Amino acid sequence: MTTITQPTETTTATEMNTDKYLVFQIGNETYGVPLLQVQEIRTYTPATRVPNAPDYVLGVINLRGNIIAVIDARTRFGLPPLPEDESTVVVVAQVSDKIFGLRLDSVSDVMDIPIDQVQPTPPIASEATQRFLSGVVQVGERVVILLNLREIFDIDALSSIAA
Amino acid sequence: MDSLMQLFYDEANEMVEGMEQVLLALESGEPDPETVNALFRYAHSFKGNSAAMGFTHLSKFTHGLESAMEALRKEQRTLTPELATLLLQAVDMIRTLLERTRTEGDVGDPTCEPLLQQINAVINGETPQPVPAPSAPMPSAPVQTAPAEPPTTQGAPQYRITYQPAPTLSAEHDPLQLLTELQEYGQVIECRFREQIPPLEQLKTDACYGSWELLYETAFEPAIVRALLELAAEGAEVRIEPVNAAPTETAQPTAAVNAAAASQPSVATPPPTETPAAAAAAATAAVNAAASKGEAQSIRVSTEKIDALMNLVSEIVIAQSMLSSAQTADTDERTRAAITQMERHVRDLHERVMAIRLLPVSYLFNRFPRMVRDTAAKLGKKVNFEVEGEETELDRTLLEALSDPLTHLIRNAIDHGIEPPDERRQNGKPETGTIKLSAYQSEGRIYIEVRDDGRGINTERVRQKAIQLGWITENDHPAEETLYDFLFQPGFSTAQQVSDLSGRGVGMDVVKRNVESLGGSISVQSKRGEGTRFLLRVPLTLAIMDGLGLTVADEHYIVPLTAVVEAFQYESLQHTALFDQYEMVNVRGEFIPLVRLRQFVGLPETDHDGLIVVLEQEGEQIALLIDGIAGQQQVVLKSLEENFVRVHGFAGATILGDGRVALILDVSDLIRRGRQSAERYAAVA
Repeated sequence: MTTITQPTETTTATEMNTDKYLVFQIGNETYGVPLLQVQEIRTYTPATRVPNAPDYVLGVINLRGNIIAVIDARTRFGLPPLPEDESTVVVVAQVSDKIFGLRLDSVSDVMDIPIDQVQPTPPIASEATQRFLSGVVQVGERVVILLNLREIFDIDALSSIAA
Repeated sequence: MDSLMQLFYDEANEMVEGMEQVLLALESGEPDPETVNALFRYAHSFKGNSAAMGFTHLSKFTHGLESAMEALRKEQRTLTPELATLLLQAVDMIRTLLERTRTEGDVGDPTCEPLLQQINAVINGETPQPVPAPSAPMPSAPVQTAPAEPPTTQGAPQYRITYQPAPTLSAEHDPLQLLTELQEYGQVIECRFREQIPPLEQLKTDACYGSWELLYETAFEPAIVRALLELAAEGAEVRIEPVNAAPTETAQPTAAVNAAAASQPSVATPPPTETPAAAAAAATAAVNAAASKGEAQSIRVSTEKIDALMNLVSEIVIAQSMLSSAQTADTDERTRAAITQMERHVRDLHERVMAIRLLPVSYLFNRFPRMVRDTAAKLGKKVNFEVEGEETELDRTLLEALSDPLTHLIRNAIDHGIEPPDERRQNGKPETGTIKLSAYQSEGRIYIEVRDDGRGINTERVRQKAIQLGWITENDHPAEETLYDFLFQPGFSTAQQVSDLSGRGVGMDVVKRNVESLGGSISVQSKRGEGTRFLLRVPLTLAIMDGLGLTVADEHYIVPLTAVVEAFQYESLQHTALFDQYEMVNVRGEFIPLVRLRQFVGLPETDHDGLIVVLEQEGEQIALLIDGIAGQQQVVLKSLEENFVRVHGFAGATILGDGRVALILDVSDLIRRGRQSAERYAAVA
């Protein structure tokens, strides 16, 4: 379990206006989420299944006494889930005032993303997954797809789980 | 009794701070009508609380303030900075009065009235007269105000009275009433409260650890005073000693008492032959002792901190159980002993931290008998107040948050519910009405009921009022429930005249708002001529619950133990299914609807024979088919909604000893499931 120190100010070393992003691989692509929204990264511990919840909700876990939901990023993006291994992690993030976990195959890096250069997402993905993305950006040789955590967690659409 | 006083001061301080924050927020933002409403509610609650405690000056001042806020609300006037300043002064005034009640008793301040007049003048649009500002009651000022000089003008003999109530101070004993009565026969010059609270583990919740020391002046014989005291408090220990009315006498014992309260009598009562330096040191000690007395005996800690502590302890418990299970046959003796010892301490720590948040509801309920008596007396009504389930333990936050709603409900019951004695007689009821306040825990929730045998809710009058308010038209005849709902709307009140006690239409909407903010609900049932029953349902949140662990496949669920009637091996002979659908189980000749937990949680059925757990709630039973029982354990109910969403069928979740999460089944949902099956069964049969 690693706790990430939140950056108190954005880097001013370069001319560019950059924000820190946590980047990771899902399938062949590199994705990023704003580091400011990330509370901590934990090793994956099995979640307790919540009956009748959507398939992308793996279940609930205990985060120091609080019950939080864990969402599987792969299932959420319509990819087949991978069995967990040592590199499987849960990124604990906060959107609005709710905390949730996002299960990822691994995390790779913290990266300075030049936010001025973020392009709107090209309409390549289906409309359903399109809303999970907030833009793409070229950093060196890598293309980073920025994720919209609010849409991925999407607590409002869920509202309640019927029996 | 001291806890009651402490609660009042704690709440009062909180409200003063709340008012101040609201006012200060105005200076940095747009004024909105909610601000005025908030101030109004604060003043209203303040008025009620201080009236209940018998602090007339505070009550009067806040009543005046409330009226001013009411006017402000009606006039739709914005809060100008000038007015805000005046209102802040009013807040300071409340502080001053509070401090006075603490140090001197129920005394007023001459600047109360001018301040209120000034506020009203501004609200009514008059230019503020350049009246000299009220004697600027700064928050810190009252500490310096000299204690009232005892008016020893009558020259009547003085007595020092020590009054120690019986160790089991019961509800019939009312020290405050005793003091009031003493006041009628003479003058209480000084009243000191001392307490000797034992360490927590020896503390009995129903014992009285406080005593009073009074300096009393009366022309009556000591025997009469003694009789008076003993009559009012059976079993109490009363000591009466005459005091020579020398001027120095009043100051000297005060220091001694203060020092005693700080449990440092040896320091604060130096022999008179001491050197000046030592005397000065002693004086400082006495001052410190006095200062520490002025401070609260309990400290107010934000529940966030306690929650954080609680969660941390839970983590330690989990880590501990991991450590314990990591022991092998090879573990050496010293490590083993250390783990065992740590286990014990962690368990203790866990229990202590849990207990911080829980208090019996009597802590809250104790404040009501006096309020009922005073209110009833004021309104010329006869009320018998009954309390039940005082031992029910409740989360401290909930307890405090329920104080205002219950105060309003009980007051309303006296004011609007219970009829005057002659009216009751005419209707063939006993002259004395009954108000019953009860608390109980059921189905993982706390229920608090306020029931009166009064006249019931006049639905026609509610309808007329709603028409008058323009909420419905003459032709509307809404259902009874809809009319009851109107009672909880802001601005609704059927009371004909505004009284000091209730009936501004503020009470019920505050009640509803408060209860709902706790994740609870409130409902009302009423029958004309027979009475009204308000039922508050609040979640346990952090309340501890005994649970029974149930297993299906490799999953673990918890059901409240209170709902479990019995458990037995399931035999297919008991099973009845009509048209293969409506499943029932025959339990000793009685058919109980069957609910399969596997099906309920969306798991495939199995051929294995399982167990049946019979669950009951409000007289309805279901048979729950499970795979196995995992044992009984204490669980802490956690919200799924806080960070996720409400999951139907489950009341919440809990964290098991190994750190995993288990969901807690909602028995009422299971019963509903079973009932549907039973209803279909009945329909077909």
